[in-house]
Amino acid sequence: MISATGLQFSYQPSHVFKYPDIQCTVGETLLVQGASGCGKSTLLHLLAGLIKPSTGSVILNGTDLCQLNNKKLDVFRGKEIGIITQRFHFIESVSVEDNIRSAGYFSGKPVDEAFLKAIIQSLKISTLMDRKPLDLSIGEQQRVSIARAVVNCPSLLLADEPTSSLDDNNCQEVARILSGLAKESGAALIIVTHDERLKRLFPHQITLL
Amino acid sequence: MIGKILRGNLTFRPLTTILSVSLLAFGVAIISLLLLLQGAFQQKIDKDLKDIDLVVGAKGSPLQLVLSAVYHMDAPTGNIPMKEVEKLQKERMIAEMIPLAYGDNFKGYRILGTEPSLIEKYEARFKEGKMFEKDFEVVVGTQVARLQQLKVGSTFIGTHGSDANAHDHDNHPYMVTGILEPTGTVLDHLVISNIHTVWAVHHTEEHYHEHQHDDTLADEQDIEAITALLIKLKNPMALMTLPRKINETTTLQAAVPSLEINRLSGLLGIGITTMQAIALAIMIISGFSVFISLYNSMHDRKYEMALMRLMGCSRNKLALLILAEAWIITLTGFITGWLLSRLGLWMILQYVDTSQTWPVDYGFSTSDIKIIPVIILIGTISAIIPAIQAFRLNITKTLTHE
Repeated sequence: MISATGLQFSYQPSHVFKYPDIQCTVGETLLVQGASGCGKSTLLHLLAGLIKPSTGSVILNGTDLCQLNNKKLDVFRGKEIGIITQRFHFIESVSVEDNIRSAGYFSGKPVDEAFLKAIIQSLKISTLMDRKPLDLSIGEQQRVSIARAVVNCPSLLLADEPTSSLDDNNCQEVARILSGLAKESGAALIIVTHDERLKRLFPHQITLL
Repeated sequence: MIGKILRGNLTFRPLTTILSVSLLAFGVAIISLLLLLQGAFQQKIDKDLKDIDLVVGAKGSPLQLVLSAVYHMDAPTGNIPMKEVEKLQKERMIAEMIPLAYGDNFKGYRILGTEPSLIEKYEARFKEGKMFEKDFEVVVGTQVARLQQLKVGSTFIGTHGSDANAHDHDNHPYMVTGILEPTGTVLDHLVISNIHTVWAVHHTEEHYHEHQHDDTLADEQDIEAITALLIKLKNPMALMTLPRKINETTTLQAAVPSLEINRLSGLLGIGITTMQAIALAIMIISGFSVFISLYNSMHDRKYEMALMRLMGCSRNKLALLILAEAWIITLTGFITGWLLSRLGLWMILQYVDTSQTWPVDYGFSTSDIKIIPVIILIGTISAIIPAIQAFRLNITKTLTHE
């Protein structure tokens, strides 16, 4: 489980983001809502340990991210945190399969082949494995991004606006797949979004002001 | 996985990679070829020079004397009468003295009258046959035998002078008694007889003309002359005094081959240095091309780098990835260039004048080892800025597209 308490962060001294305390347990989905510019992405980056808060702490499964040095944090993030970015990024020069496997490679965590197979099946991407990521449609790219984020069985899954570019049907399906895979891989799922449609699906919500 | 990513990145923009590799390959090829030829040239010069401390001949240009007597690349400076040679024989500082008399030529190969000691000096072994004993018996170098298809027992007719197209001495056939193993020295391109053979040819030559025109009278003394003397001294100190003594007190000229050749190499050196500078410039430009392609791709690749960092890739590893890419390009360039230099060498040797043997080795030479650190340095320098960029990549800003 993840808990963040007393988080504050500022890019400029005049403007400080103050966040409410956050708690999310395994199998649970937390929706973080708010208008653009209220620091949603920043919160996600704080939770992922990409930036350090000016005050407060982020504790994932008993490990305080702020206490880890850069190198340890890189490894910890690779193993324990799966991130689905708002825009999809890939290692463009290698295949979809290698992109998914690269998550295992860079974190040094061996890929669980059976789990990988299950993910590919539930995301319906088995036919895409040999293609190059840039040849895929946006929807396909998103599925591959999800597969890559969960392949390491992280304890925390972070998704940044995962449904903003999808129609209602796809929005529903992606939300369902995300929470399903999070449960399967034993992760707490935190979705950062301003998508109203997700409100109905996930009751556990906080709204940033 | 890292191999796949490297390979993917290198083949993702194939033209840029090919440009960088080929620029580097050309630079390496030129430098490697130059170093190789320079080495071969030096080696050949040293081999032919084999403890010849002094060359004595008629007055004229010392460089010409050395080139003609030691390397057989130039016309002789003139003849020297035997009585002058006899005077020199009394000189105590001389350890060995080999006389050379230039005679006719056979299809452009010089027929050289000398003593068996010349062949022994170059430690040449007989592939077939034996040393000449009588007049008009000759020992031929390996190249002459091969290109003119001579065997032991073959006979041929010489041509007057050193010009292959001059008139034939049809009344005096030479007979091959021996063929030498390859030596990598001037011997490979010579036809060697005793001195008397050369005199005999010219003696009859004079009589021939005498009968025809009935106006010239051959002077025995004039014909019994030699062209040059190759001298080995008893001690290096003699090198300080003997040449001056010969030059000042006799009608002869003494030249120190090593000095003359150093002078010549000095002149050639400028050309070689210029070529090396050009090749180095090409390599530096290629380094620049590697830099530009990496630097440009950084803009496109910053997202995938941020992603790699998200997945747990450390800063160091990311920077190393960039460096490795440059190293692979430069090393590929080196290998391609090295192969290209060997191909170039082979081609040059196909078209070059076959009158000289070049002691070249197609294998990996010590001069090539010197190129490797230069190559690695160029690769590293060209990748250092992109690598630092990768190291300092701000993941948050990149991911939020600021």
